Formats: sequence, C-alpha cells, structure tokens
Amino acid sequence: MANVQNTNSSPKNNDYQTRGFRRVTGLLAAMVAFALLAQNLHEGFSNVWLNTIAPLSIVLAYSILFFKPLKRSIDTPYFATLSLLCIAVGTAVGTFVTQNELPTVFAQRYGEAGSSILRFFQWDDVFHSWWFVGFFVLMAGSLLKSSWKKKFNRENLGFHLAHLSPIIILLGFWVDYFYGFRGIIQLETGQSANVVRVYNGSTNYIGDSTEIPFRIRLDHFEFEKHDPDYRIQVWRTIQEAEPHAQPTADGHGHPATGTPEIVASMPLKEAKIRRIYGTDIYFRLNEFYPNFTFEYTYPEVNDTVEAKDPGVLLNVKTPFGQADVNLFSNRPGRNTIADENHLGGWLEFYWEAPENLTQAINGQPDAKWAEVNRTILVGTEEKIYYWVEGELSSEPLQADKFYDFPLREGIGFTMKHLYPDAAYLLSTPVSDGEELLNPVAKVEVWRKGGPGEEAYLYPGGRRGGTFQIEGADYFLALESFRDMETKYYRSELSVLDENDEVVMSQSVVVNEPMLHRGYRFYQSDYDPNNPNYSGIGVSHEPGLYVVYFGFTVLVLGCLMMFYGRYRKQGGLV
Amino acid sequence: MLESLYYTSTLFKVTFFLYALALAGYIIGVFRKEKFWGNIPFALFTIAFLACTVLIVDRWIEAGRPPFKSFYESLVFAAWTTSLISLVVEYRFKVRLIGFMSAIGVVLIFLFALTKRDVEIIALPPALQTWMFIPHVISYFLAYGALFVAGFTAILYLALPGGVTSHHTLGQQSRIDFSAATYQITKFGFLFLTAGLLLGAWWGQNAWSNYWGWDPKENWALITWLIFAAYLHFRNIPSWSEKRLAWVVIIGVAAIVFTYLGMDYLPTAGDSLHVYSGD
Repeated sequence: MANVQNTNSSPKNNDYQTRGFRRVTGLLAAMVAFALLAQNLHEGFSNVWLNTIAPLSIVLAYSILFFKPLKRSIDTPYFATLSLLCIAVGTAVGTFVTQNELPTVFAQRYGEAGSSILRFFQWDDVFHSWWFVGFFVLMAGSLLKSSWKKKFNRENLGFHLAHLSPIIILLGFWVDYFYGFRGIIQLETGQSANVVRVYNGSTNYIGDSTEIPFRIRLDHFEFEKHDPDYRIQVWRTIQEAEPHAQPTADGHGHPATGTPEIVASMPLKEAKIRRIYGTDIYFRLNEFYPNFTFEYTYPEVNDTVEAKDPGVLLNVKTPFGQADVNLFSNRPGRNTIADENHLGGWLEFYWEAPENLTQAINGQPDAKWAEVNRTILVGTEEKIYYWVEGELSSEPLQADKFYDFPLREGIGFTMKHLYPDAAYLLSTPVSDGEELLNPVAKVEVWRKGGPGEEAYLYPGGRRGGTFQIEGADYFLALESFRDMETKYYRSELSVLDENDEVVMSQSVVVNEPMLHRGYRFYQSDYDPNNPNYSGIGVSHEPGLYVVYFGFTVLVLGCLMMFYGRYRKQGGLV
Repeated sequence: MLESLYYTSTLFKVTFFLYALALAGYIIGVFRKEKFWGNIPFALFTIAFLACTVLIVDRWIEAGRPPFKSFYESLVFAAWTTSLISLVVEYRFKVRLIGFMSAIGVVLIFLFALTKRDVEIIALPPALQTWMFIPHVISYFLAYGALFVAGFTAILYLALPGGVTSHHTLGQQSRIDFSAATYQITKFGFLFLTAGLLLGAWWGQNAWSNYWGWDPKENWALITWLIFAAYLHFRNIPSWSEKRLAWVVIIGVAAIVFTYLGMDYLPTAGDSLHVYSGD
C-alpha cells in the first residue's frame, strides 16, 4: 500500500501553514462579523434605509473589501478545511441551543440578558442566520474555484463530480427554499380543500396559507394496529413498605405496592421450564388458549340427583359475539340477565315456575312484573315462556336449538345443559378456535423442590389477570405490547378539478406519497380520537430533482475519486 | 448486567463468549510472535463474526422485520459491521493489533448492548416500513464500522508512529504504516457515510416531505461527515503532520459516538424524529 502522505514539516512549511490558516480565519471571522451586523440591522429596524439598503451595503462592502484575499485563498486547502469545520461548529451550535423558540420561551430558558446575547449572534435560529448561510456561500465559491482550476480530464473526473455536486445540491436546496413550500391540509372524510397551511421555514410552526391549483378530497381514512404477539412476562415490583406485604391489585390488575418493572418477556413455548433470575422460582407454560372458554359436561346421573343448586348452561349470542353463560335458579342475582338493549328484555331461569309467572299464566300479571319483556326458562317444565308487550306465549325448551330473543332476530341463545345440581357440572378449559379473541395462558409455578401451583393469566389489565408469586417480588403476566403500536395510516385521496370532477384517486400511506402536477401529498397526521380526520402533508419543491441529481453525482464522484480506474494512483484527494 | 445476560438469547451468549474468547486470543497474540498466535485469534474472531451473523438473522426472523430498530439491535449490528471491516483490514494488512483493538471495541459494544437489552421486540412504526430502511442503515453501519476501525488504526499510529512489522505472513514481512492504513479505511468509511446520509435524506423526503429538517440527529450526521471531509482535505496540506491527521480521525469517531449515543443530552433532541426505541 502506498504511503501518500508528505511528512515535510520544516519550519518554513509550518510558517506558511500558519499564515494560510491565519489568513483564512481572518476572512471567515470578518464574514461572520459583517453578516451579523447586516442581519441585526435588517431585523432590528423598520426604516427602509436601515433594514434593506444598509445591510445590502455591508454585504457588498465585504465582497469588495475582501475580494482580493478571498480570490487568493478560496481554493486553498486551508479554506476548504476551515470552512468545513466552521459549518460543523455552526451546526453543532444549532443543536446545543434550542432553535426557533417563541421569544418568551427563549427568554425563559436563557434569561433576558442571555437570550439577548444569543439572539444578537443569531444563535436562536442558526440555520437561517446570514453568517451560517455565508459559510455555505463561501464554501460554494471555494468548490467552484477548486474545480475550475483543475484540469478537466478523465483522471480528474471524480474530483470535479465530487466538488461540483455540493453546489448542485445547494442550488436545489435554495430553489426549494425560495420557491417551494411545505404545509398541511387537514381534512375529515368527505371534505375537500385546496388551501394549504404552510409551515414556516424549516420549523413546524404553521404560518400563512396558500392555495394549490386543484382540490384534494379525503374519501376514506383508516389506521390499523399491529397484530398482537402475546408473551409471558415476568414483572418485578419494587416493594416500598413492608417487604412481605401481600400486594393489592391496581386498576390494571398489577400489584399496587411499589412500581412494577418488566424484567423478561418470553414467547409462548409450552412445557419449556424457565427460572426467574436470582431466585429458586421456576415456571412453565402448560397451555395457551387463543380463545379461552369452558367446555361443560354433566354426568348421566340427572334422575337421581336432588335439585339442590339447579342451573342451565346457555350459549348466548349477542351483537358482540357468543359466550357460554350459566344461570342458577337458587342464586339471587345469578338467575337473570337484565339487558333490555341487546336482549330485548330480561332472560330468566327458574327450576320451578315462580309465583308472578303463575299469575301471568292465570291472566293476572303483576303490574310491576309486566313492565318489561321477559324470556323465562322453567326447568321442571322444560318450557320457555315469553312475556312480550303484554302477551304471554310458550314453547318447549329443547337442547341444542337456537331461540331468538323477543324482537331481536338472530340474537338469542342455545340451551346446552339443564341440570338439577351445579356440583355435578364439569367444566374443562378449552380454546374455541385459534383466533386470538380471549387469550389465556395456563402456567405452573413452583419453587425448587416444592409443589407446583397452577395459574391462569389473561391480558388487557383485567383484575386478577396476573399471578403474584407468593413471598417474592415477582408476578407473571400475559400481555402483548405489539398491538399497541400503529401498523399503518392510510388516506384514500381524490384530486378534483375546477368542475369538481375526479382527475385521479390514490391511496396514500407513510413513505408512499401521491404526486400530482409537481405537488406531493403525504400521510402526515391523524387523530386517535377522531377516526375520520387525516392530516395530509403537502410539499411543492421545484428543486427536489436537482437535489437528488446532486446526491447521485456526489456519491459517484467520491466513488470515482477513491476507487475509479483512471484516478491518480496514490495521489492526494 | 448479569440479569440481562441471563435473559438474553442463547445465541447472544454464544456470540458474546466467542468474541471474548477472540479478545483473549488477541491479548496472547500481541505478546507472542508465532504465526499460530496470529491465526488463532483471527480464526476465533471470524467464528464469532459468523455467530453474530446468525444472531442477526435469527432476530430478523423472530421479529419479522430488519433487526435495526432498537438500540440493542443497532448495537449488535454495529458490532457485526465493526467485526466485518476489522477482519477484512486485518486480512489485508496482516496486523493482529487491528484485530486486537477491534475485539476490545466489539466486546465493549456487546457489554453496552446488554444494558440496552430489549425486553420486548418492538414492531416497526409506519415511517420505518420501507425498503429504504435497509440500505440506509447498512450504509451507515458499514461506515461506522469502517471509521471505528480507522479510529483504532489512528490510535495505533499515535502509539506506534514507526509502524509495526507484519506478523501473519512469515517470510514476507513488511512494515505497516498505520497512518496510510487509516487513510485507506477512512476513504471507504467516508464513501458509505456519504451514501447513508444521502439515502437518509431521500427517505426523509418520502416519509416526512422533507429531505433535510435540521433535526439534531441529522445535524450531527452532517457534522460527522464534515469532520471526515475536512480530514480528507487536511491531507492536502503538505505540512499538516500525520499525528494531527490521526487526531482528526479520532475526533471524527468521537463525533460518530456522540451522534449515535449522545442525542439525549441535547436540549433540541425533544423534537427529533430519529430516536431509538429501548433505553
């Protein structure tokens, strides 16, 4: 490998180097001083002489006063290195001082005196300050002259491309800055607009409005969360008071004592034994039920069983889905579902017909009892009585037959078991399908050498859904974080002409904007509380392709300069 | 940290162990001149790199997306690119000291990744669901890997300005100039740094209608680029010493580290669109 470095650092060369850096430092410092003076005059006065003519004269004066030394130094490596580093330092300043704050907020943060000084140096908006732009102007001059001086041939092609491309990028950037805009159109489904609220410069403050030459209509908006990915989680609770106090559950089902922190999350791998770090506690997932439910069976002993705790198992179909429900005749509050909205009245179960039903059968219904529609299941009679709008009717109650609720077609129930004593009803946990509708995990937890304890975990912050391990600061949970995050936002947009005719329609998602007549439309905002709202980012950047061209040329130039076939072997950059 | 190590995947543990083993080999290799002690750590480092590749692929499959989203994932990828560049450079220049420095760096990156372990695998937000995510990140991390290695060779230059004799090719020994090596590696890194920066700008235009938003992370990416551009120009000043050149590279690497890790310390970071998940 060739060593390309010239290590000649004689005193003569060092003097030359020092003079070179001093000269360039002086030129750049003078530029900063002149630019600061000019911009402060421009912003500080309303008089046309002071805010326009004087700043222009100052800029002109710099150009005239320093023309010769600039001409002599601008293509030197001293100028190149120092201007690059000055831009770097200026950019860094813009990250250490908050930018484009409102004056009051800026003063609050840095104090009155501090903010005045920072504002004088334009550190409150570095990236639009004249001195910062001045660095770019001078660097562009340096690049141009360096390239101009270099012979245009195959060997130097990489050099020219690499050094002219930043000028191309800057030109495109400035065209966009002066002739383009970025803004937002805020729409609700069905609305159309052609007025864009324009962002102010590079900040996101919304400034003026501008019109585009056609209208945009939001036809539809939707957003979707990621699919859930349930995992067994180990949480640790930092106990703050008594270390062995039994924690109580908070609203999310997590222990309320101390602050819980998640320490591990494991995929649902059945039978894999896991240990909680630093403890002798082990656990494993015994079974995962994507749609947990109980499968009920009743032994064939009905005839010999005394009706101590009679009940009925129904599969109830509601607008929200199906669920198995047990109603118990002798348990107050557990024999009735009173949901007039969805069931059209009350659903009741009695082992033997109650008195007010007998009265109704005899044509003398109790006035209060008759106020609502009722569906009454009577176990000994194996009958259903319907009390609907003052009329009583009945039909036999049969297993596995679907019955509609009064005035609710398609919403009803199927009787699965009618039993005289709930003690003989056997329930087995099962999953009703593979769809993640009611996920539950059955885990087994034990200490080394100790007996195992089974627990059911269920997500959604439901009370009792977690399992607190006795005598430890840990609890287990079944949760999915993934479905809390948005997968995509999508707006269906139409472009309307002056006659409100649809010119084009397109679906817009993040990273896939719609382009029409030089305007780009982006999916840029949404409101979780308003599913009809969509914020459509709008940009008009006439210099964009110039910038992209500059990007391509820059990469190509660097590639040719460093590794090109015809580059100067071993030469300096 | 031990708790984090306990809960990490077996692949992570194996990879970490192999990198640590390679580092131990390099430590011995630094003091031994036999060819064997040059080849063993290099072989171990190669095996560790392959294990790291499997770790990344496994994560990619498990997450169902490129594994570059969280801090933890990006650190593992940074270790991978640093290893890759280091192996290529060590193979080319036959200097085990480069591998030694890189092995230290990679082991430190892995230790740091442990403190940023992901408890949960994060899904990609809409802005990252684009093919541009992959070339942008790969360009940047190849650049970071190369420039880290360039930083190591710059440090080696400062420590051993006379260079060292190559060890691995017995019978064909030659003297290695670390300054020249630094320049070669920096050129490669700078090329990918440029590509990564411009791909990021292009992506920003597609995602946020803005190819340059003066976002703190973008600004520091630009600062890093400017420092390395200045390094390439400093080389054109005949009397600018190689020692100073080495320092410019080290400052550039420090800027990379700040760009990567330091954004939280900036008062302007609150509005940044470039934030890693996981902390």
